[in-house]
Amino acid sequence: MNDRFLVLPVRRIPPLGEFLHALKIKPTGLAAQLFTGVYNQLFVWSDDLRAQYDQYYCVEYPTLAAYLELTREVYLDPAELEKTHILAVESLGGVLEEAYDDNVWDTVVACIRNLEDGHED
Amino acid sequence: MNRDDHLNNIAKFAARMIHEIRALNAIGRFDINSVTEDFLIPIVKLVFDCPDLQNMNRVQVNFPAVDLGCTTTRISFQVTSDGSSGKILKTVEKFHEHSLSKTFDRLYVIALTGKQASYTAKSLERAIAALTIQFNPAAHVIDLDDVLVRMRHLETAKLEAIDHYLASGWAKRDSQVKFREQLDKFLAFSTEKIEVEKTSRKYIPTIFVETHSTKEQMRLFANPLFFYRKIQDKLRNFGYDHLKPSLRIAREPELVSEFDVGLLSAAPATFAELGVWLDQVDQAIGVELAKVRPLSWRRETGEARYEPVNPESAGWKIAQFRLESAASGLTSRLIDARALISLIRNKIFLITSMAGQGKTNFVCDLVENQFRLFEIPCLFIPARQLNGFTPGTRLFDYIKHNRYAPDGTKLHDYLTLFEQVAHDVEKPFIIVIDGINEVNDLISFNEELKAFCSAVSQYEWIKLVITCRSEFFDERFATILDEPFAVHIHRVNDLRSEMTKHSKSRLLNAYFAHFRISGSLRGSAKAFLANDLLLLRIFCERHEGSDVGHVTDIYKGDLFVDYLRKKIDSFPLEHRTSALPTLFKIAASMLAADDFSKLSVRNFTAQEQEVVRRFVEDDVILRQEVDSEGLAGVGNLAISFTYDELRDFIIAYQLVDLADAQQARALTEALAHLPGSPVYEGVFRYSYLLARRANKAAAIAACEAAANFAEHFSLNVHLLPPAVQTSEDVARVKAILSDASSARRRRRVALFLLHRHNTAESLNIALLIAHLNDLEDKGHVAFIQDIFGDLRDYDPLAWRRRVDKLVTDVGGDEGSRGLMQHTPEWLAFFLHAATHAGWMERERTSALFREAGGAVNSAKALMLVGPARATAVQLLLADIAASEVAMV
Repeated sequence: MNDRFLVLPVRRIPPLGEFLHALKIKPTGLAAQLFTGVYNQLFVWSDDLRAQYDQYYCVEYPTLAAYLELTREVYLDPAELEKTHILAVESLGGVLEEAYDDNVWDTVVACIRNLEDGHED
Repeated sequence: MNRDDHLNNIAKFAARMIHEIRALNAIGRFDINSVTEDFLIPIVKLVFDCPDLQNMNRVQVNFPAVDLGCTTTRISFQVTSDGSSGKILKTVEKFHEHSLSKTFDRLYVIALTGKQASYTAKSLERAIAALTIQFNPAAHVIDLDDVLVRMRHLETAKLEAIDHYLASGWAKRDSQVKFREQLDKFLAFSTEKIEVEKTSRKYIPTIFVETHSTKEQMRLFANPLFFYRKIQDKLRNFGYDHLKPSLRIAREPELVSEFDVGLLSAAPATFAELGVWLDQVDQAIGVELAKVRPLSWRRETGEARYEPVNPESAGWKIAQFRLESAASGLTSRLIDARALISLIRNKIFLITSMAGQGKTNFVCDLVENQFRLFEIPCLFIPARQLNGFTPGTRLFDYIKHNRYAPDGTKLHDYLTLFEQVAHDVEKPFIIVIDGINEVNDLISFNEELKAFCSAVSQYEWIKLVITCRSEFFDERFATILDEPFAVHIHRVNDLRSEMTKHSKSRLLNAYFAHFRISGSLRGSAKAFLANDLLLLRIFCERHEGSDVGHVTDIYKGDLFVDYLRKKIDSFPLEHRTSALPTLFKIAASMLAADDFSKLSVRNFTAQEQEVVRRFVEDDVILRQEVDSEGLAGVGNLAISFTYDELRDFIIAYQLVDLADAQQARALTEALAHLPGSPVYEGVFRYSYLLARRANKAAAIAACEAAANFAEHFSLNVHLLPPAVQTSEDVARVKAILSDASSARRRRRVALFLLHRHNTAESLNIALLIAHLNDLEDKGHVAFIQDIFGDLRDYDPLAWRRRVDKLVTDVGGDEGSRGLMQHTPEWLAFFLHAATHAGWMERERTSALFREAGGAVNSAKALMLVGPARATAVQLLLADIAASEVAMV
């Protein structure tokens, strides 16, 4: 987590259904509504820094790592740099909001990690 | 002309193209191939009837396998001067690997300089078999002759269009070749100025810290045909779908987007196309803003608020906040997109910021790393170099003063050429004028600059980047903002960039690498330099090319002395002797005038003024300030010290230097007169430290006799080098520790001692432990409270929670192993503090020491605390001892 935004490197973007299923949420109902918002924040409305690098910045910066460090102050391990998507989320709101005591950040991160591991297998 | 005439002309042009490509490829100019991709688009569009053909590299940099593509007709082309089997194989494999069959049904390879007679390689056959589209090398690998054959079937109007396009293209090329050859040299001469900035260290590339947001704005401003896609990104997925549920609850009519999605996939390839596209997008944004902004919190002044159908309904009350919030988000996106359009259309990028924020670094980095890499034609003008030219025509003369400059008798001759160049390369021609505040005659230059900006504004694709110190701009150039061209100015007011810990660390390493310094920084030295870039610069210049070993502390006084010595040694011999006296004269003049922010050097001798100019040029010790307006300011040079602490040091140095001769009269007077002045604290600190180091009795006495000396001593004791620490200092430290009337002073000195582990030094942690051991119960708790408390604490027990936290942190994840990393003296302090922690934390402390067993440092710590008089400490020690016995 950067001071200004969250950085989430992932190998693949899970479909919404898979994301909800991994959280054991039925696709209808209030929980699905809430977590669709979470999904959108992380995977739909976020910026993919790798894609941006390929599209705009690879001329100016010799490597993705240099681009992330010099322009975004994002420092990633080589293993994370290899991931297909490096998502940047400007502000976490709703049930991810840090100031919200019962925020589900840890649960969501664990879920994404499981999905990543599962896909790797 | 009839069809045959057109076909003959086209054949001639095609033959010339093949010849030029071969010739340029032969000398390694493969860049011509990518130019040809763009050049061929209008022709291929007509020949293959694919109206939406675009360069895929503009859609995405390094688009794989194909160069040109039309997503409407689903036809794609690879344009290459290599017609070998290997190249065809690679193209087919990449096409398959990137699943381009999802986007295109047909793939052609246009072999610009000719194709092979046949393509029978087995590997190619295998690669073709793997494709899900039809690909037959005999039909799909084509050269320009094949294209000509296809043209024979075109209607005459299309042939005429192609003939006209090729004829005008070659005519343009012929007329430009000569000038372009010269132009490259002309521009190269200009960018050589960057090297001058490097030599003078006004620009140090490796230690440049990016200001991302400003650089991003510059991308749109300077390279619109590449970065216009940022506007598309901003507007992609724009819609009102997520407002629908709330609008339904509120029973309000739905909002429907009229945004033409075609605008988001358009790929303007020329300035003309871009201009039309920007107009369309701007208009579309206006339409959507009219719908959504009234519902948002970002309405313009006087703009009517959205009127719900039934403002009193429960549905509206429920949905209102959500609707307004979402509408505000959408409005922001539209406004941001419009701001990007303005950036592209702006003609002047004006950067004004305080001194030392890196304006020169910023623009030099732009020229070197952004403009050069994107081949944006650019003229770089360091404004101080305009001083060598006649006022009134400085900018024109500067441009002309280049042996590669084409003939020109007036500014518009050059501007016309620059505009032509911009159109040729479809990139703006950028003129960078760096540091306009460095021009000598600012009043006349203001008028000249206005005329120049006005002239440039008459050209569509010539743009200006101007930098200026903000105080100079506000005083001398602000009237530029009243000119008609001011509507085309984009102004940036602040270049500062917040840095994370990682970036600070990267910056330190980069500084060390640039100045070829080996060694490492630790503790407070690292923190000092990472947080004070000017001090870092002084440190690096001082230690350039040397090994500094492991630096744990920075003694600024020593650093300033060494730095000044080194700087003055670099002066020509005739100025060396007068350099330091000139600095002293500045200090004395500032003291006399009681103005430390600006000094006129009008009354200085010519030699002194020359010394001043040299320091100002360097910008590390002295810098120029805005002088008074009118006649009084003519020919005058107003200056100030760049670094406040260095100023205080020089003032102090001068006062102490005089001390022997005057029995420290000047110093005594200054210390009596200065309280309340911004220089007082610094001047006192350095006067005392310099006096102590040089053992100047009169100066020491003057400082020690000053009001509130104990306060100053507590503030500066950490700067006293061990070699000059005396038994009197020990007595002073003890007195401050015992003085319960000033908690802040006690805390300051206690924390200083806490980090002084070398017991060979007079002032060290042992003094703190001895003091704590001597305290009785009441005094002990009051002392710990003073150290852990804060005047701003609202909760009277906040100090105790900090003690609890200390115990928790020390225990941490490592348990008793955490104790191992601390010295016995520090652990002794920890024991003293922990006696006033909560019950749980005291238990934790006992457990930590019990688990540490007989580890040397913990055992020694227990021994050091043994003589403590406070009952609470003895109880804790007894608890630890009892636990240890129980363990046994």
